[in-house]
Amino acid sequence: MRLKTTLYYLNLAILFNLIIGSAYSFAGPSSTYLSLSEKNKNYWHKLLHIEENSSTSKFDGENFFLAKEGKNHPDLELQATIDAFSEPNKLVGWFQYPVQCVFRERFNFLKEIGLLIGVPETSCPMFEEWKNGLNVNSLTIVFSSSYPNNPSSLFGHTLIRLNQKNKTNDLLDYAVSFSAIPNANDIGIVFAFKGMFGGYRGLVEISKYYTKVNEYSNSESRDLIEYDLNLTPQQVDRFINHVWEIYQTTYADYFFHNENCSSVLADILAVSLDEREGFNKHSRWYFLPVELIKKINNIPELVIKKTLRPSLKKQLEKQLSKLNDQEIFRIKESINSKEIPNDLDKVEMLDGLISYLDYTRYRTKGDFSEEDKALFRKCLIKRSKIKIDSKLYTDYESKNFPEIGHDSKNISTFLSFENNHSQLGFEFKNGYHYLMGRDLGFDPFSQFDFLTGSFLYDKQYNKLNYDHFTIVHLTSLHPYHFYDPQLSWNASVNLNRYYQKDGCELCHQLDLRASGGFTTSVDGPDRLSLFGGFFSEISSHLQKGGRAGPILEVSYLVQLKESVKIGLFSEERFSAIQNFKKDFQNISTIKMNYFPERNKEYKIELKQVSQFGSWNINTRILSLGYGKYF
Amino acid sequence: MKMLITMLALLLSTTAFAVDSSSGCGMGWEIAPKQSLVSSSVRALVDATFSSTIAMTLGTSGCAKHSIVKNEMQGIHFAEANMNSLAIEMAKGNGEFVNGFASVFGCQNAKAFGSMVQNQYTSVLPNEKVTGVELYNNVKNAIKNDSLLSQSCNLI
Repeated sequence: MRLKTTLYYLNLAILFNLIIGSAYSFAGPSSTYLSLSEKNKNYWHKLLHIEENSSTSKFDGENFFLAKEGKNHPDLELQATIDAFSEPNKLVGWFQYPVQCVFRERFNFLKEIGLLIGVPETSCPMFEEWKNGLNVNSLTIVFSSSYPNNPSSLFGHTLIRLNQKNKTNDLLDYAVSFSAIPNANDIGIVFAFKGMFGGYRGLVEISKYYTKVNEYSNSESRDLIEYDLNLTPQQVDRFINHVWEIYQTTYADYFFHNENCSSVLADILAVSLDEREGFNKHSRWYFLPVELIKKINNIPELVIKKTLRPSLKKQLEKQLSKLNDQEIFRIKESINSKEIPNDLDKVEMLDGLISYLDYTRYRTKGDFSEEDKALFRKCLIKRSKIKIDSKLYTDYESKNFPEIGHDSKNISTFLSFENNHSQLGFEFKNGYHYLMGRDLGFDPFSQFDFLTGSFLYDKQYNKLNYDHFTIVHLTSLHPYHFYDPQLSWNASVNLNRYYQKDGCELCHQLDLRASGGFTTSVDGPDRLSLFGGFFSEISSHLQKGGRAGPILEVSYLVQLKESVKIGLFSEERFSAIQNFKKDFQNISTIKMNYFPERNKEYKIELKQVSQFGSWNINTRILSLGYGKYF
Repeated sequence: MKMLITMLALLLSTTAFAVDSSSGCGMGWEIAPKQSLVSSSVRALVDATFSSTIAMTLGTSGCAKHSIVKNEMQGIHFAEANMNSLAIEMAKGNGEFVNGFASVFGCQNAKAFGSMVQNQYTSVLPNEKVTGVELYNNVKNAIKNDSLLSQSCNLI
C-alpha cells in the first residue's frame, strides 16, 4: 500500500516536472532577455557566473537566484530580477536586506540599460557603510607561490587586494579571496578527496591583507607577487558591487580543478573587464592560479606594476648571503649555545640570527623550544638597544613570476632508437611541470606531472603501441640547509615499460614508488640528491606477479643559463620478494633539454636498463624529441 | 580508478590544495556557524595568534555582517594578528608592520613612532607572552606619555 502511494506521488512529481519543463520549452526565453544586445547578454551572464557557451551558473547558493530556475535559465532570472526590483520591500539574501540593496550591480546594470524605468530606488545604508569601510581605490591581484617542498600546493593561490584610497600601508588593505570551508573534523584523506571531487562549499571572503601576508609569506614562507591593475573607477566600482552581491547571497561547490580560488576570482574580475571578452572563458578542464595571472598579463596595459613580497625564507637567505663564512659560523655557534656572545653586535649578524629564529619558529610550529624562545627574546632586546636601521634588501630575483613560465599542457614527438630498432613516439602531458622542464616561473627542480602518456609507432610492423602512462609523479628537490633541514622526496604511480629480452618487447607493469632523502646544491642552480625508498611492480610477466623492495636513487640536475637543463639519474631496485642478490635492476639515464623559447623544448635522452639480476645492459634507448607547451 | 583516487588523495592530503581556510570575516559563519574568525583557521600558528578575547570581540560581531573590523578594534586586531612581526620590527625600530601599527594609532610620523617603540621595547613588550590587547594598550599608553606622539597620533 505504502509502495503504491509512493509510486503515485512519484508519477505526479514526474508529470509536474514534465509540464513545467515543456511549458518552459514552449514559451522559450523571455522577450526581455531576447531583446538584450549581445554585449548586454554577455554581461548579464557574467553577473550570474555563467561561462561562455553555457547556460548554467557556477554558483549554488539559492539566495543568488531570484527565479526558481534561475541557476539554469538566465532569461527567467532576468525577468525575476526586474520584477523583484519593483518590490522595494522584498527582503532577500543571508541577512534579509531589501532586494535592490543586495543585488547592487544587477540593479545598476539593468537601470543603465533602461529596464528599470519608473522603478523607485531604495536607500541602502548597510551597503554604503560596507563600501565606505572598504574605501577602495584600485585592485591588485596577488599570487602566492607554492608552499616550499610541498608539490600539492605547486599550483599556488590567488587573491585580490582592495587598495584603499590615500593609504600609507598595504597591510591595512582588505583582500578578497575564494576559499573552501572544510569540515574541521575531516581527516586529511577525506579533506583531500572532498577538495578534489566535491563536498565542500567555497565562499568569497574578505579579510585584512595582513592576515594573508602572515599566512602565506610568514607562516608558509611563500612569495607573494602583487600585480597592480589599471582599472577605471567605474570598473573598480562594478567589482566591489558584484563582490557584495556574492558576499550577501551565495557559495559555490568547491572543486580543486575548476571551481577554485582562481577560477571564481577570474569570473568576478570579468565583470570589471567587460570589454575584454573571453576573460571568463576557461579553456581547459582545470583552471590554475597561473592561468589567471597569465590572463591579466596578456591584456595590454592592464598590469601597471609588479611587486615581489619575498617569503620569510627568501628574506633569511638574502640576509645570510650578505654575511661571510666566519659570520655565519658565529651565528651557528650562537644557535647551538643558545647564547649571544657580547661581541655579536654587528647589526647584519644580529638581524640574521633574528631572522633564523623567526623562520625556525614558523617552520617548527608548536615545537619551537623554550631555549630558542629565550634566545629569541635576548636577541630582540639586544637589537632594540642598537639604534641603527636594518638594511632593506630589494635585489630579489623574479624568476618565479608565473607569467614567464611555460604553459601547462605539452605535446611531444620523438624518435626512439631502442636497441638499434627505431620507432616514432608521441607524448601528451596534461600538466604541469616536470623535473627536466624549464624552471622559469616555477618552483625550481620540482615536479608535478599528471596524466601523461606516450605512444610508439613501429613502422617496420606498422603497429602503434602505448609506451608509458604516468598517473601522477611528484618530486621535490629541496636543498638541505642548517636553517632549513628538510628532506626531499619523490612519489609516482606509472604504467611503465617492462624491459626484458624474453619475447615481451612492449609489455607493461604497474610501477609504484615513494622515496625520500637529502638534496644539496653544489654550485648555483643545481641539485644533487641521494634518495632511499620502496618500489612495487605489478605485472603478469614477472614471477609471482610482481616485485617489491627497496630502491636507491642518485641524481644530479643542473640548469645552464636558463636555456639548457641536464639531468643524470641512476636507480637500483632490489626485490625483497625473491632474492636480493638475484633480483635487482639498474636503470641509468642521461637527459638534456634545450629551451629555445618559453613554450618549446628539444630533448635528448639516453637510457640504459640492466637485465634482472645482472649489471649487464639489457636495453639501451636513445631518443630525440621536440615538445611544445600550450 | 579507485587506486588512483586513493593515491591522489594520499599525495595531496598534507596541506591545502589552494584551499584557503585562513581566518577571515566572511559568510562562512553564516553557512557553517562553527566557523568563526578563529575556529575557521586550520593552521595552528594562525590560531595561536588569536587569543580568546579577540575572538569573542571580533569573531562573530565585528566582522560578521560587513567584515569591516570596527575602527576602534583595528589596533587590537592588528596587534593580535601581527604579534610576531611586530615584536621583531619594534626591536629594529622600523618596518612595514611597525608603520602599519603607527597608522592604526593615527600617527603620521611613523619614524618617530618606530623610535619610540624601540626605545620603550621592554616596557611595551615586557615578556614574550604579551597578548595583542596588552601590546595595544602598552603602546597606547607609551604614545600618551610621549610629548611628540601624543600630539600627532590622532586615533588614540
